[in-house]
Amino acid sequence: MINVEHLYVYSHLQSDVDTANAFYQGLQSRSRSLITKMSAALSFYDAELMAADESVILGYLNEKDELKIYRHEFELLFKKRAHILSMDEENLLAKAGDVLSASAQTFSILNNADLTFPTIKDENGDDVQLSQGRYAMFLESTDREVRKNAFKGIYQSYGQFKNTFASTLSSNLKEHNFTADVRHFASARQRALFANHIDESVYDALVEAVNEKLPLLQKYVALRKKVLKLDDLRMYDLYVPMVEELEMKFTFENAKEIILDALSVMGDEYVSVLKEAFNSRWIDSLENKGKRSGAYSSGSYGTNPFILMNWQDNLDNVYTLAHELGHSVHSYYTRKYQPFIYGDYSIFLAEVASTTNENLLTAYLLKKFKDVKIQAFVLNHYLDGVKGTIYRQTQFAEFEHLIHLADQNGVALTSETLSNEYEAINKKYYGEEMVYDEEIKLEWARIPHFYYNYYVFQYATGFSAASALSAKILNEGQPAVTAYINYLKSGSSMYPIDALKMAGVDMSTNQVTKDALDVFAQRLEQFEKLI
Amino acid sequence: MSQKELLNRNEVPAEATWDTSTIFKSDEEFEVAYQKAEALLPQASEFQSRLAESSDTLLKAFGISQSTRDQRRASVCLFPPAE
Repeated sequence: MINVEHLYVYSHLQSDVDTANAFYQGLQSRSRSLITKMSAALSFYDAELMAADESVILGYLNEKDELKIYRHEFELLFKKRAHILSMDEENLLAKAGDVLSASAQTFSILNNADLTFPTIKDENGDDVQLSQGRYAMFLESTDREVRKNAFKGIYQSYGQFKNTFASTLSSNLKEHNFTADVRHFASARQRALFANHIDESVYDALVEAVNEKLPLLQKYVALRKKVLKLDDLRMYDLYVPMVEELEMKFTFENAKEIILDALSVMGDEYVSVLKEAFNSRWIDSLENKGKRSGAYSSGSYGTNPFILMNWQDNLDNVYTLAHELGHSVHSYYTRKYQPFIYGDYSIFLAEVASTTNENLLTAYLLKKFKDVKIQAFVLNHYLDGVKGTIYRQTQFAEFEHLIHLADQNGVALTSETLSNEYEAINKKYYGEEMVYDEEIKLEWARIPHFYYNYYVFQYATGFSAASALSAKILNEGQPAVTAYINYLKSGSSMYPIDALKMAGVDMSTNQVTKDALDVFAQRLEQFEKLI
Repeated sequence: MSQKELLNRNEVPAEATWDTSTIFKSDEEFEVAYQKAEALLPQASEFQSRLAESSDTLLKAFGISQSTRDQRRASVCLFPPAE
């Protein structure tokens, strides 16, 4: 069988390790355009099947054994019916597509291409021009002046265009609310979550649990202030690690040993897949000239998974590798045990598989390395992870929902309104121990995720689920491992919430997130004692 | 590490690279598969207006679409969370 995805995967892998190579750029662009043509040619499938008589189709499924596997797929399709409009209306919406997405497009161009940032002094006193990428790097600087300069510099640029950013963001909210309305949804959130088959109560449960546990975040803030020995902690002091860089080096070989050992709790079957990843060269580990930066796991149905890394000899890279292997093993199991039609998984499930590995690695490192410096480093990594993933992404999720509702209720979202709302939520999260510079009110302007339509909450739910599942695996052993692997094998054959229930967590209650934050509380205390 | 110290792609030891031959053994093999896939395009509309005709047609139609449907799976990069 010919699978066009294979063409795309092959060409993008070749291109990513040598981005200047024009030949592979060509293969990639041809593959992409072929996929687009195929999708267009097959676009009638959904429309035609949705228009068909449900009882007739269900009759076919009963009639033919080979069709039985499509039952879940048809159930999803038929559920969409209530939100599909007449042919003429659909046609009109399709034609307006470019116009409706124009504000998100404008944001992207302004934010990535036209917006320029001032020049600041780096650690060596050299002039460096700020950029989006360098901003993140400078915020991790141990030189506070550099962090402050970067913070002031970035918001100088955003401040100049704050009314334009308010306009692109509010227009984008209007598009979400408009489309939800004409497709008969009660809200933009309902529509966005419906697309991934997730109930809105999951979102509310997350926000509720995190709000209940905000005092813990504020305790973290107070501790950070103490450890960094600052009289006043500012928002730009939240990213620098609270501990020194480890002198210990972690080579790729070390990482392999550590990961195999740390994940041995998953049992022989899981470990054999990891070994295959290492032995059958699924991983492109070293950095080279022209290689795409960062890390990812890729592949498609019918191929093995592939991992791209740019290896550096530190513990953060061991974590990244464990994370990507989590995605890869999930893909491996899903593609091995599911038919093509269910051979993928939603982002809601994806982040659980990767983050569970990270949580198991944390538990392993804390047990294995008794050296105080390593203990402190691992705890810091974990604490900053929870702060950045559960707390911060929920903060964004809360803001995102609030501004959608405000627009739906006819509130005019000017730069001032957005800034005031953002400031209120930000203060609620970080509390009294933080000193707030005027600029932070503008943070909403630079977050691209507010254009992704209710996307970020899944990072937080993913981390919460992973925290619970890794604890179950460690405490309960084999039964928990079997349940977890069954989830990895389920692909998209079930509703995501049911797949996680099968693994052992119920994300429709707020208990999972509360439990995860209780672990955060314990480790916060542990860290405080060490420092 | 500065850009100057980095290896050229062809200097990276094979054991540190991924093995793409599990997909296609060579660029030539890629090209053959590409041509075949492109030739399938006209077949895509074979079942237009006929999908719900019978259980046989439905099964056949799904057989064709399996090789082509759903480009979202080809997207590899999840967005990293915002900082």
